[in-house]
Amino acid sequence: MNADNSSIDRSVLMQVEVDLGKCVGHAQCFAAASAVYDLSDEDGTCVIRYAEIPSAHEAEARHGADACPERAITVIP
Amino acid sequence: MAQATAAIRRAQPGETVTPPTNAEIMFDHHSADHADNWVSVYENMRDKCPVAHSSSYGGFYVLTKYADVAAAIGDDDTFSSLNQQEEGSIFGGIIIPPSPMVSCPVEMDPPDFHGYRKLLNPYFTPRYSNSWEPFTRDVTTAMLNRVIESGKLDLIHDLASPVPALLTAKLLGLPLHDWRLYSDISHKVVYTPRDTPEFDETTKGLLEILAKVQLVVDERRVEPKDDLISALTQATVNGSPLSSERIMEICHLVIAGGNDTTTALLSNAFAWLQEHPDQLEWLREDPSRLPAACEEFLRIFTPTQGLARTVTRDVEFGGHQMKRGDRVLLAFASANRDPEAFPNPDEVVLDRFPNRHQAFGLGIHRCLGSNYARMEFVVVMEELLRRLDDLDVKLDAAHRYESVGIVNGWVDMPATFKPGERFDSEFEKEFF
Repeated sequence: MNADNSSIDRSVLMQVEVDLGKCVGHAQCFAAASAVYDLSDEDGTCVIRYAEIPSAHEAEARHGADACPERAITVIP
Repeated sequence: MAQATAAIRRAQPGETVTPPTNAEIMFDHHSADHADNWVSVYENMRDKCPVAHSSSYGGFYVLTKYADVAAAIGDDDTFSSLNQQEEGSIFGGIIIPPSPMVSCPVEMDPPDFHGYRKLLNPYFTPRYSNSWEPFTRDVTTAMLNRVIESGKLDLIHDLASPVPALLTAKLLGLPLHDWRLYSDISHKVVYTPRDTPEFDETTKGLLEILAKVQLVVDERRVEPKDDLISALTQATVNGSPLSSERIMEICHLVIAGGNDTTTALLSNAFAWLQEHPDQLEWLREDPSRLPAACEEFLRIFTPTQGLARTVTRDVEFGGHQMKRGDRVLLAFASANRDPEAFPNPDEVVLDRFPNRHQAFGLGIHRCLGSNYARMEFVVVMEELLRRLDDLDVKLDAAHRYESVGIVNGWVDMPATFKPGERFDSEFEKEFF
């Protein structure tokens, strides 16, 4: 139980990071999981929509990360 | 037949074999034999001599494993893409043997590369590419209208070749009433054998296209419109405007990269689906399956089978002592069949995931047009599935390219279908 009497454990929301040094705009993250990944209009590179991934989108976040040929996306944890 | 001539014995179960150093093989990616056997040739090489040396075309190394290609293609310092058309230069660009026409920016290295790529990127993002979907669908509709009442077509001459050629021309800002010229030449120029009268005709056609491009470049400098050539004439890189030569090098890449490769992707898909009608129905049932299918066709056929690099410094790689000036072929087609990267790699699984193929390369030179290719595949397939009932592709009357050294494609592909109706097309109204 949290101090505000809520039950959600806010310390373990998933985060996702993209290494923009590796991202070259294959756009497969977006193709696999557009709810989590957007693409820059400048060069088509990965833009993650959430600082913390809502639990409803966790599976998609992993799916999009797996799609990347450059392995540029890391899921934490 | 490509054979590993180094002395190698078969591994016993459970035994690891160190690949031989300095393996020398007979290998010519342009040969008819390679065209017929590339799948098994590459399988053999990955197994016995994953990095091997061929003496063809002045000598080059071939990298066949996914991990090795990824490592080399990610190291632009050691493996240069530069094409330097100067006497005595070691830099032969990305084709073996070197292309006499430089492509920009793919045949450039950092730091120069980045300025040009940055300039082009906004016109090649997924969102921007998808904004061309209505035009692509309209052209596809027009092309199908031309044949729809007859019940027969050549899937390449009538559909898979014109659609990419016209989209590329429109994107650049070239006049579309010349569409037949762009469509025919961009297809023929890839597969027509040299030293034939047909090749001379094709070269004439290519020069005609390039002359038109030059004309448009000159016109747009003075009176820019809303197209890519205009953007290039008005742009600066590192503070300087682009020379005509540089703009032509960019146009050469967009035309060469955008046309026949996409045609080859579609053609190979048509041929495969003819042999797997249940899969064609599976796609027809739910066209949202098309994007994943596109990735699998890219992987299994790898239209651009491989591209080259020049070694810039002496380096040990895969059991070979490579030297500055050595040429290297990155065999994407082999990487895409590597069992260490793809379970059951020779099986076509239209919903395979993940599918981290190298059909568009990897790294900074990742195919600029990849998002257009994907969009075109989906649009053409959607319209084909929608309008061509009882499609019967006559594979025994169809012909593959004699060489897959540049593109793994088909020359022609006759087919019949149940005659259907015409639909409205703006392109048709304007240009037929």
